[in-house]
Amino acid sequence: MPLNQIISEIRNRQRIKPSAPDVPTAVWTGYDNHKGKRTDTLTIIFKTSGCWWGNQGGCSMCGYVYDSSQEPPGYKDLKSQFQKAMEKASSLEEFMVKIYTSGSFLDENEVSTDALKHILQALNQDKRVLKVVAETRPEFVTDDTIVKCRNLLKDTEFEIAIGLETSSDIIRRDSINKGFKFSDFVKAAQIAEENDVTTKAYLLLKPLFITEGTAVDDMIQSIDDIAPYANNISINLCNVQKGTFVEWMWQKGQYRPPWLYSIVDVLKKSKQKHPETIITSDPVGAGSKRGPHNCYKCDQDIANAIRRFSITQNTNDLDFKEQTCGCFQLWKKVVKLDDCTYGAFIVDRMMQ
Amino acid sequence: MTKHFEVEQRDGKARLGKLSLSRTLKTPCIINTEDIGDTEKLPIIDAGSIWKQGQHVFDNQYLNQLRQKVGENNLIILPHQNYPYNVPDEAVLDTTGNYDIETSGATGSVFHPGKKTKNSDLYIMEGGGGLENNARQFFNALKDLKEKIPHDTAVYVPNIALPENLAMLIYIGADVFDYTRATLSAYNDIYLTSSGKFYLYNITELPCRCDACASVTVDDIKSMDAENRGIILEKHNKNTLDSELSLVREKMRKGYLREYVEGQCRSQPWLTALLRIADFDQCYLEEQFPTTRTVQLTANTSESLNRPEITRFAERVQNRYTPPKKDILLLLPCSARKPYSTSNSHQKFIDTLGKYRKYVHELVLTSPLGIVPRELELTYPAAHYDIAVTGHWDADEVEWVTDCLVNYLSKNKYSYVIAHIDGAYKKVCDLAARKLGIEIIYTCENDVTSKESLEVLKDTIKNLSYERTQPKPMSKHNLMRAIADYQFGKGAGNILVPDDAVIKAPYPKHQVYLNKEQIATLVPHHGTLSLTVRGAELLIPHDNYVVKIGSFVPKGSILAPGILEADISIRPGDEVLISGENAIGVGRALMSGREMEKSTRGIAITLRHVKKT
Repeated sequence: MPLNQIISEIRNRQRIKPSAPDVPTAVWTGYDNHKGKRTDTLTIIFKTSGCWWGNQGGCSMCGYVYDSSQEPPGYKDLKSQFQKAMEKASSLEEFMVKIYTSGSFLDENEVSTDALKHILQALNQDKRVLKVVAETRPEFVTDDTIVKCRNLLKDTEFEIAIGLETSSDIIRRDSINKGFKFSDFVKAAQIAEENDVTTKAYLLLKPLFITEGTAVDDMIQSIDDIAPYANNISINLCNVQKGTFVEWMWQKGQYRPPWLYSIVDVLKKSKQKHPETIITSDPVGAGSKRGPHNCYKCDQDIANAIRRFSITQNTNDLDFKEQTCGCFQLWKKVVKLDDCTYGAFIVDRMMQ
Repeated sequence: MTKHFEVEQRDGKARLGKLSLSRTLKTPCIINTEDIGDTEKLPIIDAGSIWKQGQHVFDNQYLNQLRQKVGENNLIILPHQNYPYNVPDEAVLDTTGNYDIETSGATGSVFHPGKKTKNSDLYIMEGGGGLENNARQFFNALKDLKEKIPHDTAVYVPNIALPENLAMLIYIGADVFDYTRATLSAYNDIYLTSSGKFYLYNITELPCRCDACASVTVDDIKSMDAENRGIILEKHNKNTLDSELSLVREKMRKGYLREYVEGQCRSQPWLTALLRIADFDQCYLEEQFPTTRTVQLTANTSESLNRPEITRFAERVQNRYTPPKKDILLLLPCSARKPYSTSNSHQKFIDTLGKYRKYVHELVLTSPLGIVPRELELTYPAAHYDIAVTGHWDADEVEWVTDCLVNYLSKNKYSYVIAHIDGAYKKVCDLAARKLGIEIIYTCENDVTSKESLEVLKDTIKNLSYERTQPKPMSKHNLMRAIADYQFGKGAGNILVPDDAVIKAPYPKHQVYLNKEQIATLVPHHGTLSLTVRGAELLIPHDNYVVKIGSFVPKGSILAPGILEADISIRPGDEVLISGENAIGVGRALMSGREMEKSTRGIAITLRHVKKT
């Protein structure tokens, strides 16, 4: 893989804070769309030994590898993490549980079979839990693992979430360095479907080296390509995380996170083409230098519109007063011109 | 081999040329990248980005079909997978876009350092605009690109052009630009001028009368909605870029781009840095800088000291010039009027020296040229420069002239060094004397042309020349030899002007005859020699400035493809010796020696004389 060496070198320079193995990396409650209804969610990010691929170097935008524990958390640690996480849901009546590990929940090396059993059994027994979503790389989606999960969760809804990022093998390989192909994702989604497990796909808007216009087109194309396999698509807006290759290029003034207008454009066009598919986006870090942004003046309004749409799936929510902010005209020009900059990508400095 | 780009005129590294496509683009030029693909508007098509998934399979079949569709005379930019300039090498080693497909007809290709270059008419400096503000990296990147591609191809630097930087970018060798920055600035309320950018809401009047600005006030524009504001600002920004381009082209036609750039680069620190960095490089600019110009050299800035012509003159005085055998050196101040010997002050010095003049060797101290031996006072740029005179020399000038003098005196020994100078010149002499541990005799107290000073000068020389053997009166021979050495390298003077040569015609139109046959003429305007065929025959064995041509008899001019070999020290404007199986001749170079060898198009030499052999 071409980028592993570069990314490893950057990762080796990054200082990592030591942390306790029996506390989850993060837990929070929120809302999501479940069968067309706004539903409470509990999001748990387990601390594990980390993503195996990330430990080889891994993806160019990923800073989550630094969330992993130096001492691999054992069965007891994960049990304790889970217990602490569930306390946060004590006041919820009905909710969806979203499980992340900054790697793959289905990777035995991160979450042992015993720990997986304990967690899924407990979730199945908790009648408040409507649905469980667990993130994993596609190589861990096998008949073995999926049947195991299905059996543990019984009739509780289960969804696997895969960070496909794009349906373009070229971008996924040469820019993101994801380490798997579109066909691997398709295979995983098919195994899931055979076992009555749904698939959610994460896409990434504007990875490194991709121009604004190409990034928008790539998302629209990707959604077309994956709609048959994933009924739930979430688009992440590339942001500049610490200790990543993206940050390295950004510091050299040669990367700009996506415009918020771009995701609005993607959501509008794709929702129209795929009304049955849930398409969401959480504009993390919107309006900051490292996050997706427009001109910093209109960012919060647009981020709120995106969040609203993600719950309602109603494109009218995206029809905010976009024409009133002057930067909309600028974005239209950027989308057109960035494609012909031949590596001199348009960054904010060039417009000032 | 390029069939579509031709350089028509050069001013140093800057070039006026043309891209002959379905419509001819005169370069330097600015393109609207939004028009790429629309051959009605711009004869350029982009075959596509490899990052764009699923649009095309980039193979020869695709490319050939595209070529058939658009014809040979529209330029196709070959498929590319673009990266920013600073991407680490490992990231691009093994990427999807690493394959070779080429097509006939006009092509452009994206140049990535370290990757194989494809044959093209136009090369795009990948990530070029991303290096704005980083002068060193930008210079190295452009230099690397220019070294890897044939001379007679065009260079496109994307997403960088602004009215403030256009002159500098053209000066260091770029040919094609785009309006991208002008448009982006406009839609971000930035009003561009050649001396920098203004935020629209911070200006109270419009400093421009272009058609976008003439009929509105700044308040009118401020009160427009974003879309209309953008349209009018874009129009102004593009107009400004266009008029700057026309100005730069006009400066190039006149050979004045250097002077313009020395002033224009002040608009941004990185542009000034770019000029200095280009000057520090010993070869990049010098290789294509003409040896003579028909216009005056104006040295108005501190960067003028580092102009290729100035450093070249100093280098040649140091390495090529051999002074006549005299052991009294007389250092004199320069004069505003050139050549120096026609000035009032120098006329007085010459009159004062009278018959004793033949005992001394005269050397003129000057900023920015350093030192000018009397024999070379006619030679470009010694008789062709002008400088802001204040009577004060800054530290850089003092250091530069001192270095030139110290170098000269370390190499050439004299029994006596007399300095008839005052003010800043004296400081230079003091520093040089201290450095070398020699004594310099000063002959003037205050004004160099005062009666007392001239009297002291005369007495000093008179006393020193007493009892000395009288040197042969060979001043005309020395003059012609010095120029020959300066022009063709050490030793050329003795070949072209041996002791038995006869110098005819009055100064400065001397002609050299040998055995009643004319060898060379001094061209007073440039202070250089132009040779006859006989002169060329004599000098060819010296093996400098020789151009070897194929077995044909040239007429009028010689095109680059007819040249087999050319001395790499040849610069535009040089007198060159043509040697071929069937012909021998002399002419004037229009390009550097390396360009002559590497170019596939264009006039390399205009012939002066030729003889069948």
